[in-house]
Amino acid sequence: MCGKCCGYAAVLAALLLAPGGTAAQWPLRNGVVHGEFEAAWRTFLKRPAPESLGRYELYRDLPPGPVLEFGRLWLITRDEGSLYELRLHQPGQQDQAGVLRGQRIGAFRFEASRTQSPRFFSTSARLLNPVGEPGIFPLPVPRPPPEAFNSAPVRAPIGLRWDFDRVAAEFTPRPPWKIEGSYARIGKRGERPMGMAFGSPGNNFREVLEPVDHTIHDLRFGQSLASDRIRLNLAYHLSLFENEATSVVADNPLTAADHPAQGSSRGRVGLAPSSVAQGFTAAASASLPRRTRLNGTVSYSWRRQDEPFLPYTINTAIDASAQPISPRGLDGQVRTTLVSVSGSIQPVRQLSITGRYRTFDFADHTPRVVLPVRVLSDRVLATGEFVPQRYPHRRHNAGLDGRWRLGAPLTLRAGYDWERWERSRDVRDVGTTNEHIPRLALDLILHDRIHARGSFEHSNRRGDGYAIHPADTELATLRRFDLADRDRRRVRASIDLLPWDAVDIALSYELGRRRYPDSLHGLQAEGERSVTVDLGWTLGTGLNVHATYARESFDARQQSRYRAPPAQLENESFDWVGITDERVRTIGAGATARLIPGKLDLTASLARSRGHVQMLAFNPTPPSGGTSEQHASATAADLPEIGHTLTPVEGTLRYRLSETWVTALRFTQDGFRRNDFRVDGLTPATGSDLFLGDGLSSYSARLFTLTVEYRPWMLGARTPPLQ
Amino acid sequence: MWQHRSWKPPARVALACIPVILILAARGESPGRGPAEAVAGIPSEAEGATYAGQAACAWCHNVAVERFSASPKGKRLLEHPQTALERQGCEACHGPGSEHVAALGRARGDGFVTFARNDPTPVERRNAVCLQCHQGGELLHWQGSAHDLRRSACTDCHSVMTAHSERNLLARPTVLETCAGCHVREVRQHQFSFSRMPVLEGKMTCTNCHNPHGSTSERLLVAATVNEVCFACHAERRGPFLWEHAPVTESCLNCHDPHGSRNGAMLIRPQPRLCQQCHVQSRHPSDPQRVSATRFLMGRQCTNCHTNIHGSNHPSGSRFVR
Repeated sequence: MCGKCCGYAAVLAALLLAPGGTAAQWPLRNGVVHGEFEAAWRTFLKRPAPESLGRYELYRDLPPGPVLEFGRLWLITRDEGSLYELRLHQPGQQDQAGVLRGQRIGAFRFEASRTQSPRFFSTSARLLNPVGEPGIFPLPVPRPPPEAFNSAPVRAPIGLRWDFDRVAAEFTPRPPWKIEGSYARIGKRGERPMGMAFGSPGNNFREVLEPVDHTIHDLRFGQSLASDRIRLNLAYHLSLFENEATSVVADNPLTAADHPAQGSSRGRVGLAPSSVAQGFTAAASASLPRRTRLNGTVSYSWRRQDEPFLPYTINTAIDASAQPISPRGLDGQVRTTLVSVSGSIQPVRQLSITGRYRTFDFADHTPRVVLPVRVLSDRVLATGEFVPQRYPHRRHNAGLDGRWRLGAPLTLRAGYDWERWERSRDVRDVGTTNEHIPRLALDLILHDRIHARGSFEHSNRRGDGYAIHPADTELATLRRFDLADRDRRRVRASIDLLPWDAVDIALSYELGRRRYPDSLHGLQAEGERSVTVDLGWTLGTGLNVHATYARESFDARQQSRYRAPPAQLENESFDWVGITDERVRTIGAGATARLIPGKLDLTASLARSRGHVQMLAFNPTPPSGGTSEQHASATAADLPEIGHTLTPVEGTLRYRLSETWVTALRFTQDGFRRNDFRVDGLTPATGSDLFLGDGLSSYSARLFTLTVEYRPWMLGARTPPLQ
Repeated sequence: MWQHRSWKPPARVALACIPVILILAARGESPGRGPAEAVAGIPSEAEGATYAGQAACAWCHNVAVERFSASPKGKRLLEHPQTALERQGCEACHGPGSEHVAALGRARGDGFVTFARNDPTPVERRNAVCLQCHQGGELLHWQGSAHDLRRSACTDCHSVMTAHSERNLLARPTVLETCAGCHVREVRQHQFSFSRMPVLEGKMTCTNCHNPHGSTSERLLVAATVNEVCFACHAERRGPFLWEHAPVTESCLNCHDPHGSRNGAMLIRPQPRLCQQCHVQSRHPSDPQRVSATRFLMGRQCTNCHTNIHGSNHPSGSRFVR
């Protein structure tokens, strides 16, 4: 409503002021206030249906009717040494933004801003009962039949709103000493879909909504000193995360009675705990003779989390109270340390050399916790010693790069990088990995007409022996891709051609391959390939056209083995190979035409991007040696293709009413089509499970926007925006 | 046995290097600033050139001077100079212009930096002009950074004389469009991916995560690691949790592509294949799954049940279902 009021006021002001064509300037005693704005009226020729509106708007708010797209007031003091500005974007809408800022040249700068961003998940979810308290999802007793869930009312849009508020200031007490600080508050409110597993009967689960009430306080403070010879930066950072919701409780749709072994009438999932992180960074840089530069950075931070634990279970038939949780909270503490040094030198004009070393240490100082009880899915009590693992690690990187200018047009770059990860063998399959990455690149610039670049990179990562952790129930031949031995190569080539001043052609090619030579099971190979062609052509002084074509493909090959319960049946014929094949093809074209020089411009663009993903699967040998049920389970088959197509079309006709007033008529068409067998036509009650049934809906939207703009600075007037 | 408290020799050496840097800098020789090098050695090729003064510039370039003088940077250099260098006005950046004036602006290769497309001045010398003033803060790590090594010119991304953007004197209206000049693929991902961040809506941009002027991290990140960049907004994933998921602890990029993806939640691979890359335990993780396996394949797939896949603080959350 507020958005519409702002919009009506702006449109009215535009109608009253536009014919006059006067500049919006108001002289004051100490300066002059200027103003500019853009008012719009949106009319949908076709608006997406409610069930697909969430996908269409996704991160924005697009109501029909009037809106103040943009408004700005700024004051320049009489000595032209200070500027103060108030800027608003779409005030009153869900995605509004505003900023107030000012600066005194060479003295200070401040800024206060607010940005809102909606984030829709769906507008077609079905929930049987209205939610009482946030995060509580009760069901009546006896439980309703599946049909009742399928005919449940559609839930109002499910989504979040991010509110990002920030104040920042920069003060220069005495150049080159500068102090700066900022405080940001990110608020996330709303809800998002989440699953609740009950485990019984039949491993069922139910989709419900996670209440989101998050606040992040982010405080930064720093000072810097920069002179010809030395530069110093000191910074402090504090991040406080607060989650008002601690858990989600949902009733099991298939049972209303708690049972010590056959399931619970309800389940409880813990949500993200509140936490705090803070850190210091000191960085120094020094300039030495022969264009030598040395940099050093030390950064230390720690994270802490000590939220009280939830009870083991909400199942009243399981008495876990005899095994109290000690301690009360995790007392989780992580400390990270970064040390980085780098140096560059230019011994001769044509040659520059850069070296660097960096180490990042992630040390987990969380006390060891031993849990005597575990209740998976609030279903069955298991006793023993359950010890949560910590994953400390350290990473080292070093590199040396040389750049040699072979005459004016040609530059050769050669480099070598080394990366080492150190992990604890107590909890990971590999202790240490080393990766060596030599690379080569060539740049050629010829008479500003040809600019060609090519690079090649090859690397090998090797570990100190892969051993599946004894406590793990994984296949011994499994190699996890983040730890496994890996060979990687990447080729990039691009060329920009300017055969004539009016024609610009750009071609680029990229190929990346990663092989995991020892991975009998797990990810074995993956890669990507892309080709892009861009063409721009200026026809005379009034017409520019451009076109683009891109083709990308991504693939991955993984091998797995069906392992049937109850015995760990290690049958090689139960192996299956999964291939994921993803392809994206994008074409686009656009034009800018000056129809009446100085008066009427036309810009138009259209694009179509079609992507598909397919999960293919096959058995290298037919399953044999097991029961017929096991053979059926082990038999792999291709899954249906998943695809999506985006077709954005836009055209704008801009007419210049006067030097400062412009009106524009914009047509926008958005087309989205998605087929995904995983969500299409999914009814809430599917088997023994309960989904929200909020499949993605394709849509098509056509929108006309009429705008009136008053923007003096864009037309070459004297006042540009704040920088 | 790996011990996280012990510091390896390279790290100790690195740590020791930092005071050495400061001592060297304090004792070192300052980059020369003789009369012909008044602009940090930039116009050193303009031997004998002297400052011609602002009026000489305006004589031919009156439109450009007028436009520049209206900009905040112009106001600083031309009306409110803070340093001796800034008092040189146009010549603070372009260098002493007497030779340029004498040749009526026609001579090329006279050491005068025009920053025009056909300016033969090497990129390093052009960039050194900007680095005279912009060398601290976010630009501390420019030298030796990825863009410096690729000989990217400051003027490839910034336009000092004409404002094309709301802030930061960019050469194009937005950060995204500026980066799109070279990083076509990443920007296209943002434009056409099924699952993406609110970059097109202007709610965030490339510089929220990357510092194009250099950093101590991979891919010019603004924080020490990928995870620390992500946690700035997604602090709920930070933990530490009672039950951690090792690949999440190490890098969000193990599963997500922040530039956009064809899969939900910006995953690098569709579920359940993503999870099956690392999990071949008995029962459902090892099952190839068929369309009839709704529980494992439909809706949110693996995360239908493994809700807290980023880590759980629930005492019974070892498998991330609580």
